[in-house]
Amino acid sequence: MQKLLWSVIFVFIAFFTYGQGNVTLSGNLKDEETGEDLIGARVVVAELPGVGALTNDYGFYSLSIAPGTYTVTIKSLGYESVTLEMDLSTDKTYDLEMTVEGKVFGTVTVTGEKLDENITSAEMGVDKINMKDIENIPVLFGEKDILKTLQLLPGVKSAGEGSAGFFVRGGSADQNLILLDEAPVYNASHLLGFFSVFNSDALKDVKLYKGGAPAEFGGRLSSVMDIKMKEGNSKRLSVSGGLGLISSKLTIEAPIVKDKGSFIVSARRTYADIFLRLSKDERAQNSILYFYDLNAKANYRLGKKDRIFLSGYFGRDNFGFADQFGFDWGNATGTFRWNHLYGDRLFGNTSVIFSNYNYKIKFGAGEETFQIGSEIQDINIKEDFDFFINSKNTMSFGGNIIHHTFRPGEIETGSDIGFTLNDIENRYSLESAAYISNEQKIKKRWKVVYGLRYSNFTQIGPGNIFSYDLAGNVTDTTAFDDWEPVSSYHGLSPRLSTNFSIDEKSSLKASYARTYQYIHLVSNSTASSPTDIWVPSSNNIEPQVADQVSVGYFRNFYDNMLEFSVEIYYKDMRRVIDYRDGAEVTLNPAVEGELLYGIGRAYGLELLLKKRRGKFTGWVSYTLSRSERKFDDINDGAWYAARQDRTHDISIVGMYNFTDRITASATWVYYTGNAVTFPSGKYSIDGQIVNLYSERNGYRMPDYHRLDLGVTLDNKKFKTVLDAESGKEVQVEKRFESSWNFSVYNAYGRENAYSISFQENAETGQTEAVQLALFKIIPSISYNFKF
Amino acid sequence: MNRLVLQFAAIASLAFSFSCEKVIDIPLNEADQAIVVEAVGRNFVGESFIVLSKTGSVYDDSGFETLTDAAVTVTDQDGIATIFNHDPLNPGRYIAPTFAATPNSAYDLNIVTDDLTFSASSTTNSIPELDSLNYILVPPGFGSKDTTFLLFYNFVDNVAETNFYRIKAWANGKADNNYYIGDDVLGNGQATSAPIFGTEIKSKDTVHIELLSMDEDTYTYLSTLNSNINSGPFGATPANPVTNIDNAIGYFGVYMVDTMSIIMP
Repeated sequence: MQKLLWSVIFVFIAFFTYGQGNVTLSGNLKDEETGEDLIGARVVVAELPGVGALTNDYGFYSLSIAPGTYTVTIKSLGYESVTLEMDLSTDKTYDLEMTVEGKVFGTVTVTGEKLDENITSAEMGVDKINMKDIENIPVLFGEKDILKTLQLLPGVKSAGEGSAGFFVRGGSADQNLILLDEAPVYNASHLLGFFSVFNSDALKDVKLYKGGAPAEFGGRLSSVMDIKMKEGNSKRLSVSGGLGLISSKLTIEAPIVKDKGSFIVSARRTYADIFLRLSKDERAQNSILYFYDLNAKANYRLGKKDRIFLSGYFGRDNFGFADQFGFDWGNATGTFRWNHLYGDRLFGNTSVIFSNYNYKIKFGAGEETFQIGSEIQDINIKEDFDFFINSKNTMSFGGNIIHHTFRPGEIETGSDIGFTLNDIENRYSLESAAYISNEQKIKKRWKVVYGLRYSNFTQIGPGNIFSYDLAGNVTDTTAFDDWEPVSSYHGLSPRLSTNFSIDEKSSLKASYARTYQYIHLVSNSTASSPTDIWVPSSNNIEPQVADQVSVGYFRNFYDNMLEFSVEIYYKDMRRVIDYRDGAEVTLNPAVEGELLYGIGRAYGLELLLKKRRGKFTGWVSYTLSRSERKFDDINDGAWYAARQDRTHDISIVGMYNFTDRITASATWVYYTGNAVTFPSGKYSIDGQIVNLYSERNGYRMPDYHRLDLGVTLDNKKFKTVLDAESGKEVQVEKRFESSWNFSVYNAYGRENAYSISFQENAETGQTEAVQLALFKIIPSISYNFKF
Repeated sequence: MNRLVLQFAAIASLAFSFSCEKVIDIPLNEADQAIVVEAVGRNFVGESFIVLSKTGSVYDDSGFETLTDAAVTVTDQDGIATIFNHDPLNPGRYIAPTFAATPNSAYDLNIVTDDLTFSASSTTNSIPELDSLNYILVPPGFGSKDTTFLLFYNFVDNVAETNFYRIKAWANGKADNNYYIGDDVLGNGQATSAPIFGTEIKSKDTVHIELLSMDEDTYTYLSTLNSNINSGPFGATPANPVTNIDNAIGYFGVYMVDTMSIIMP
């Protein structure tokens, strides 16, 4: 199968390359000030309307056209455009460092460039976040967070109050593939979900594919979040940092060799534990509660054709009580990449990727200890090519192979504990994929991206593999040797997205994607927890499969100042996973017997109206949707609302630039309460009052709404100095920039229900519905600096 | 285990945060009234009982209806039937003053009411043996102003059997409501030493410990019952406990029990 795919790739290449007497213009685009690569910058030719090239993830572009003299314009969002006459009689390399727009003293950003990317690109179902918006949008405890900002866009829903977890288009939280410099991050939240593991100071670009992801991506049903770390300033040493209410952070970036290589190191740590010590409550005083994370990346250009990158992330949460109890968890990822230019039209990248997530729980002190650990670890080798065939076709192809190790439960006991317990056996598997995708301009107004992804998943030995009966009891055990295949699955995922421009202001788009998910998160709790474990597809668990179709209409108004889009989608999911009632998922060797398999469907309408320029910017997003599941053993096999089913979801985000030093912002969110299971009766047994449930997710939590406000005050960006030559006063940009950010979370103090429990009043004995609200008004302040 | 850790985490993080609780009004649907069976066999004479009651409305606190005129029998593997008679002093409770369950046996429960019949079965292993109780001193400051004790129970699992255990504890006659339950899947034949952490034990307290062994169905019932009771924000999706009785709510479990008491210094 893989051989067949590779043959197809080469036939494609031969086909597209055939008979061309073109010249190629290629090069790298960078930011003038920091030397960061510019992703998605455009190179267009005035004489050839509709012909152009985009830079790839590494800032490289390549454009093949007939020889001649052309007017070439290079533009990128937020940068001054550059237009030049070029004699392209032979192949030419042109690198450019672009200037951030609006760097004119004392003025607010104005640009004459047409920002119609949303109309012309074939991409749909994609949410992008401007890293600048993240700085201004108010968030819980003032801890800016890309995952929380993304939740304000249509189709993306928060997993709960203050949560960094999210659901995309009715999928569950584990159906999101979160990639940090290509490495999967298996648990993307700190502190029981209130903060994401991503320190936004270290990030360069974030893109969320809600559907119709390119064939390059696969492995999860619902979405792909592609996060790229900054490369680091290759021009000069730059330091930035922030002091916040709950955490502080520091980022250092500098050239290794100027314009050839650079590095960035960014660290963050919370200090909630310091406040805990000030508490009067002794329990709180003895509690340990903090997290930290570290991002580091370095790159070096070996020559004109070669460049290497090394990036890594390490983060950890620590939680404990005196020396009696300890609980820590975290991710570690590492990515080594080598870019190589094979000629001026074929760009290749080789990556070696490592990812690990683990948790450890320790009871007791000294030698009287008992420790439980669990882990998932990946080693991934990946090869990707971008082939800039001609001005009408850009092809991507490649493949990868991942070795997964699953350690569901390792138990260690101290020497004085007096007993030992057996570990739960590890599981191993290989996940491989090959893909080919082409972006083709068929007519001036019609663009299509089509691709095919083949994936294979093989569970391998060593191990004693169980078989189960329908009730989930172990019926048989078979021993397998090292690397011996236990079970294997494969699938073909076609991907298609197309854009038809009706005119310069509007376009119609459509997409289709099939996705396979071979590893599954087993979580028995309604909130995401650090102890959730990943399990591979196996002789018992088949992969999850989904098909999604979506269509959309995109229109810009007032010279692209206003963007409007409407998308509708339908997603069909098969072999989705739920659990038997009361399933035990921690330290259970037969955890596969606790799973149930069903089907799901999700559909919805997403509206987005966005104002991109001017003193006032922001957006309104609205989602109308359904997400349902069907399992033979739940609710008598009838369709029921998934937990994340929310009928209405509204976000309003507004930012206003009073002057170039003061920005105010406000967000308001409203959504229908989650589907939830409440009792419909009660009884007494074993000395306890027990709730009687008759229907899964038959009720709704109360509607949720919240207003957040924020103000950012920038200190003076310019200073006045006497120009030595002219003797006149001139304004010079200050090297040291700083800003204060004040925000209020939940400004009108709405008590939004985090949970509702039915319990007896200790005094009256009356059963009551008790609502727990987590955060009322939370003000916060932070100070950020950069030099 | 999972739940314990998360509750602990939730308590400490919420203690520091800004949460607030209030009673709200939530209209609930009414489930059809069903019969609840709590059938408990024990290896001590006269300690076995069956309680028959009915489910009630969530917001109704007038108590639960009981069934007082059912015919209740427990039959062992040799076909010997014991009739459990209704105890007028405790409405809904059926007792057999001479009955004691025996190790390595099988029992069938049969209940006949006016219009319904319920049946269930349960098996027993050997009688477990509590080896000892020991304690460590917890100095003041760890959650209490006084010196307290962390009491450990110790026993050795029978390697020849697949065992399921529950520990029950009473301090000065007051029951600890935590479900200390476990199986021997990961520690077959091992010695176990674990603390009673749910009750604050002080000097001069009398603590009574029971070690109960049960079959897998009873264990499943108790562990799913525990999830039902603890289904909070970090708990499992709420669900009814997994019963071993046809057509009813509740369970039939025959326990082999060992007991031990200690008076703290």
